[in-house]
Amino acid sequence: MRLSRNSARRAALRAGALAALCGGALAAGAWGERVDRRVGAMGTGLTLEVEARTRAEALAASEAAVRAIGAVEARLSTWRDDSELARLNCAPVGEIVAVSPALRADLELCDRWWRATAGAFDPNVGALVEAWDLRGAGRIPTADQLASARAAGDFAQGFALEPGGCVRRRERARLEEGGFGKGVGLDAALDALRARGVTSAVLDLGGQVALLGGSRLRWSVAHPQRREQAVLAWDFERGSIATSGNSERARVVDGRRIGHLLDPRSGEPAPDLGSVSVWAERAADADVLSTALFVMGPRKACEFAAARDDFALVWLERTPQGLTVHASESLRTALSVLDGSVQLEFIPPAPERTRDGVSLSDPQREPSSL
Amino acid sequence: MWAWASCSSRGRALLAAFAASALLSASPSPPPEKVFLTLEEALALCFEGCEIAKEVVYLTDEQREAAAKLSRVECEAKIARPYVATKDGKRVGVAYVDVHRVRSLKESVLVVVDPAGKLARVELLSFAEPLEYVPKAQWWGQFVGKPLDDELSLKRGVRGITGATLSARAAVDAARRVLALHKVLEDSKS
Repeated sequence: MRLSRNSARRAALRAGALAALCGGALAAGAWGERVDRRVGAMGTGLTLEVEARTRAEALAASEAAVRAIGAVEARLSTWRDDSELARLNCAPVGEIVAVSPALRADLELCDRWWRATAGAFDPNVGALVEAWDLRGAGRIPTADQLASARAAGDFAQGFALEPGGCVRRRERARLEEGGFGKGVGLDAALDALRARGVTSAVLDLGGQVALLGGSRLRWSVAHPQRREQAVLAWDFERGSIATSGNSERARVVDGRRIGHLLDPRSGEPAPDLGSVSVWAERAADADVLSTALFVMGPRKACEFAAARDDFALVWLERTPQGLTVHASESLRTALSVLDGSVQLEFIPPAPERTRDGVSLSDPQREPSSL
Repeated sequence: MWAWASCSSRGRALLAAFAASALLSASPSPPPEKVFLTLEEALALCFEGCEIAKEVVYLTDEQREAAAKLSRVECEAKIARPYVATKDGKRVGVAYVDVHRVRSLKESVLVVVDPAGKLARVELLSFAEPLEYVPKAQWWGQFVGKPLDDELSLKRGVRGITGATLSARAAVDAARRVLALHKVLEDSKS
């Protein structure tokens, strides 16, 4: 099958329109045979559209992507006892545990974003997740239970990366992969596809989308409370978009709605003010940032986004007047409003912008663009 | 007379054919079935480098009843076709194809059971309903790694899909049915 760029784009737009109805979108266009698969993976589901010169190549590449995600799951899943991360969570306090290069890279990623977000992203929340019973029916912990969970400390208090491995430093310290695992999985899958020479692919892992290749994808951003209603269309050509919100996984306990996104700094569920979508070149960054920026709330998140250029933000804030969308300036041509009642505001960039703590006025750093 | 009658009947036949085609084109036709993977492709991907033996098992009434009792789902099939994958003489998994209705049309799913009797993989093979009824991607993954127990039901370990309960129920039923059938077949071997 060979598609012209125009027909591929039309197909992409049609798929995007459909996605507005079902809360997601997959479309790509390129030149070759396309494989479309739906597979269970990583405690969620994976949709793959992979194009290669032949169907056999596309199938083999898609399977390499599925297995790459499987390997990440085997390393990071804390829903099983035998993963490397689960074993680290059970390691004796103070004992250095050898970690694989891949897990070290994951922990370094967490450390970098924990510092950059001043703790709004913190994977050392396993004890808090347990205290609120977020993997079960939900629970409002007593003050003692909450204090006990918070004894895990923050990321640096709970874990230390050493040259020979990682040390768990506090008894209650336990890492939770929920804020970064899917993104790491998607990056691994994209790397596997690239290694097999694939130039066009669209992956959707539990609602986080990642795009490989030069095809334009129209992604629908759903209303924070009514997931079947698309309020924005977002065109992008590469990278990944992750979304965090509480519309689907919140629990109600004793009449109180408990969101699944915790603020690691307070130990309480983050205020549910809407939803956040983040674009970044790497899926892991998008995954981490969508969590952190939801926790920050719209005002702090916009300040954070204004000062950096390595990601783009869409914060859908529920207000008494309706829905206000705060979007990065870099998305001005990428976003289309689908619901006329939505108010769209762009975040002016800060005069001094940084990336990983380095000023972008440094002439050696080229700012990225969508 | 013969020529006129013949001509007339041909004309009537043409008119009838035209009317029928007009009716057919006016009535909504079901969308074409979407085939994601052929069975051969799916088996080759799931069991790369393995020997795959297709077995055909004629189910007794007792086996069907036992599977239905275990799964709490009706087991209509009279024949089971497990695909047993082995590598270096060791069994690595057994795959089954479950074909079931979603609303009024069918979907087929490949379900792989690992040697411990847990779901190792669920992969959609084909889907005849409009694609918006495909169970949401995030939903399928919740099966993987689960054995057959009370958790594999809609109201417990597996979350439903808002607005697509039929899809959700069909998928849960398929998973339970396959796990139950697998257990019954394994028990009868031992």
